[in-house]
Amino acid sequence: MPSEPLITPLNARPLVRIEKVTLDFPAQSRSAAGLRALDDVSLDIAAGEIIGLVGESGSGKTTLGKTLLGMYPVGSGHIWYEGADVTAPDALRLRRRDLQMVFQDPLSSFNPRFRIGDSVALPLRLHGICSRKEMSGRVGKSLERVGLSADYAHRFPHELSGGQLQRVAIARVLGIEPKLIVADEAVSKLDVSVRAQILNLLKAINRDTRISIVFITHDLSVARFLCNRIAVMYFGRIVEFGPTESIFADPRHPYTRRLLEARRSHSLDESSEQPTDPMTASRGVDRLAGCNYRDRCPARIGRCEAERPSLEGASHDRRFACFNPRGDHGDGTRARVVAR
Amino acid sequence: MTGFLSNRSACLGAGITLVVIVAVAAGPYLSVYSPTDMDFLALLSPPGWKHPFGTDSFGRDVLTRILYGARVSILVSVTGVCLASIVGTAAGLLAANFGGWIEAVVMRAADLLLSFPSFVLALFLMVVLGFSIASVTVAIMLVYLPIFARLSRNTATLVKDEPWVQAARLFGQPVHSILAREILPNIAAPILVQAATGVAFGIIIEAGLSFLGLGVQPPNPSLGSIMADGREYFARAPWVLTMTGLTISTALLGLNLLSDGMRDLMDPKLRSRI
Amino acid sequence: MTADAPALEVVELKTTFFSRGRAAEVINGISFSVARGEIVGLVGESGSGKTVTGLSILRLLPEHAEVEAKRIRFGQYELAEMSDSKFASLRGSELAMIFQDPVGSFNPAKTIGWHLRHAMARRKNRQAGMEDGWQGDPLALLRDMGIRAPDRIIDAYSHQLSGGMLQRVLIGMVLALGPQLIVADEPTTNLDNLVERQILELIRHHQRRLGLSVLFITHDLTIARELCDRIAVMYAGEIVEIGPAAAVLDEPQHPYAASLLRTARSLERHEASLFELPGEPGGNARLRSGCRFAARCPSVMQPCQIEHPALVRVSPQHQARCLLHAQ
Repeated sequence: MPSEPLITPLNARPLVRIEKVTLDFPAQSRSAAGLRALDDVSLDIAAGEIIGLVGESGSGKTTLGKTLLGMYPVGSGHIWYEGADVTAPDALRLRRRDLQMVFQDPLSSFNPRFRIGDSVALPLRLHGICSRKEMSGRVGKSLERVGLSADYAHRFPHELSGGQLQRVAIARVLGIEPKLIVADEAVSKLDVSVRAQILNLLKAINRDTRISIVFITHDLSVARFLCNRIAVMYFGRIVEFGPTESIFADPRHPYTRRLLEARRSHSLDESSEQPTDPMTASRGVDRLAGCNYRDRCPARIGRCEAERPSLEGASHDRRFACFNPRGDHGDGTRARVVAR
Repeated sequence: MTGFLSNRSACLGAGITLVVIVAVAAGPYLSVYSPTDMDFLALLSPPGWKHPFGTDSFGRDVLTRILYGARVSILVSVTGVCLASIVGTAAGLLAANFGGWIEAVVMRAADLLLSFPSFVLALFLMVVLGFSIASVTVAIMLVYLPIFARLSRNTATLVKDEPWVQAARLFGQPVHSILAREILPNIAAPILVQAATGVAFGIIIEAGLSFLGLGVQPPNPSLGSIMADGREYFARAPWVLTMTGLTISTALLGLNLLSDGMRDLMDPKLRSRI
Repeated sequence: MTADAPALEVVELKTTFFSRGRAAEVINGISFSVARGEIVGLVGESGSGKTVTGLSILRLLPEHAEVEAKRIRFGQYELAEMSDSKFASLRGSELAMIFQDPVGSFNPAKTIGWHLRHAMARRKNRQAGMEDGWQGDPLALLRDMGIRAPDRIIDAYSHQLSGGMLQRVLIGMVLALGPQLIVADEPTTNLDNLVERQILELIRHHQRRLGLSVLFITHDLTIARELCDRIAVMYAGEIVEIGPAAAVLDEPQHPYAASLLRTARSLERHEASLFELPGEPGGNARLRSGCRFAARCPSVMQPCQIEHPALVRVSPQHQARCLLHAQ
């Protein structure tokens, strides 16, 4: 059975509310335009859910994850955490415990000079979770909780494999009992057989502790397994979001459909699209009018050039930003791809 | 440790340096002469049984003078470089971590100091501060300060955005702890290598200054002043200049081999395995 | 030499790494061949030895590695005994490699155009007259690699291009050299799915067009399934299964291949819990007596701990290294 969306009462306050957040990275040189990394992004994250941020590199998914942790200063817009406005740069200082991150590269997540045990103990120490005497016992239990034996604490990071290190990374954040974990491509660098272990682990943790997880990935299959809801991002904007199964059964935005196509095993001979390089395509602050997917979109109509589609939808929970969602070369037939 | 022993440069360098240090530390106690003992019956005598390195124009034992002089050189150099590394590294770390005006000030100050050729800078400082052991130490310190500042700031800039540092910030680790615990140990390697080279160069600066009469003043022996003397009567008694020069070269060789070896050792550790 | 002699034939390739007086055997006598015009996939996870295989054949390993083989036949050449200098002239002309991270294949101080012209000139020196239709024109080559506005790229430097773009240029460069055999080491692993798809299509298209032989190294079964004609699955320095792609991936005969497939499938079928193999694909397996996969094998039996299985023919084209199939 796939992950069901959480049944949350409509008036329940979201754990995190991101409201019209825009974030620009300044221009590197005088001739280049600044880069708009996040463009008017709004998203609610409920307690206990796993939400996927899906997109290619350059989509802004990692930036969004880091921004909600306070790692980047917001340009405009607001971020609310448990009802409090935490937009200001230092606002999360008192809530550091609650919002944590697991990184993409397990090896560089750990100070190479310190033993695993010391790295796991660090947040415990900083937040006074237990006394010094209890520390090594506590560390041992954290490691066992993620399926590693307690004597891994004596080893150095380079002695462990990617999968083992990622477990330690999870153990390290679990120790301070956060409310939300941002997992930034946490399984992308792992072998296939190990990936399954970590994904199962994350799912079990969410089930047991009700910790919210923001799962950033470019792999829709992984998102489908793990996430209750998915938000698809493209060039700094959320183009579609909703419960996982709804996204897969009935993708509305042409980009979402494109992503779904790409993950399916079909013959490599078919290719309807000119390659576009997300990095070199202009994303300057000067080029923001209209829909940002228009250059690659097969369903493009005149309106897409000048007007920017906003996120609309039948329910507050299922939205997409497209003027021509079922278009396919404008001839009215629905897009071929439907998830099985 | 086994890695160290298998690296020939490092071992040789460490060995030579160790010999020099032991000789310089213990020598003065073991020597039967004092650096100022004059033996008027043995002026400018060539190296022999009584005086392994010969005597100078005052009949003083050259070996003993070299040992005492080397003490001063090494002391001055090591102290100067140590101070430079501590202050310079700290400045560089702060510059890298905070950026903005702090970085601008530190880097421009470093640029200023670096724009002077090191020896010229040292000379200038001697004139301003007067000639003494302390001022030579300060001169060496100021020569090396910007080098450490730049080095630590450059390496720290690479390290400060590594995921483990980001994680530490997310855990709420205070800034001073991040600098000391997360960043510093990981930039220590090139700094140590630089320190070893720095001590070598510091010896040259000190010797050069005292050679010109601008460093440690007589009758305190100093490698440079011994060489200055030796130069005057080189034709008659080449051993004074030569032995002193050889001593300096040997110490430098040892230190440079050591720093080369250290650098070789630090590198492969960073390279990933296939 | 008959026309259907394989492009590459490797027999008993063994690679050992020496470090601090200890010898670590990374590849344990593997054998396989790549026919002309065929794409053979070398599939495995980290520690399997797949990358080292490619590097061994191309003599790109560091000094402390030792490569032995009974035979490495490349077309008419016997590589195993060849001198380094003679081999150096073959490498980069007849025999080429595409790496996982394209950045390292480019001189950061030179433009893309310089690289392409350099590659084309190298080809021209070797064989008068180009057969591939680019006529020494880098812009045409880039267009053929699916780059829409090559004139924007031609004067750019490698650091200015994204991974996907750079990989296209690298493929173009390699094709410009006119090799007989290409070893591709995880060329799309660092790329997003969409770009990855495009690059694979590109490789497939040109491989068919030029009749190239390719040894494609990857950890991704799905890619291997779509791209490769035959697949060899590696584990802990050995080939544990080898056969036609469809056969190996539709009906895997070795429990390791089968579990890789099951994991991939359970992901596709959105099951509530993914099939997982306990333990890690680590280096310790090599030290074990008996079957190297025994510690993690879901079908392990008593003899597996003691007897090291040999490759057994399961069907005419398909072999597996497992006691389940031993007579």
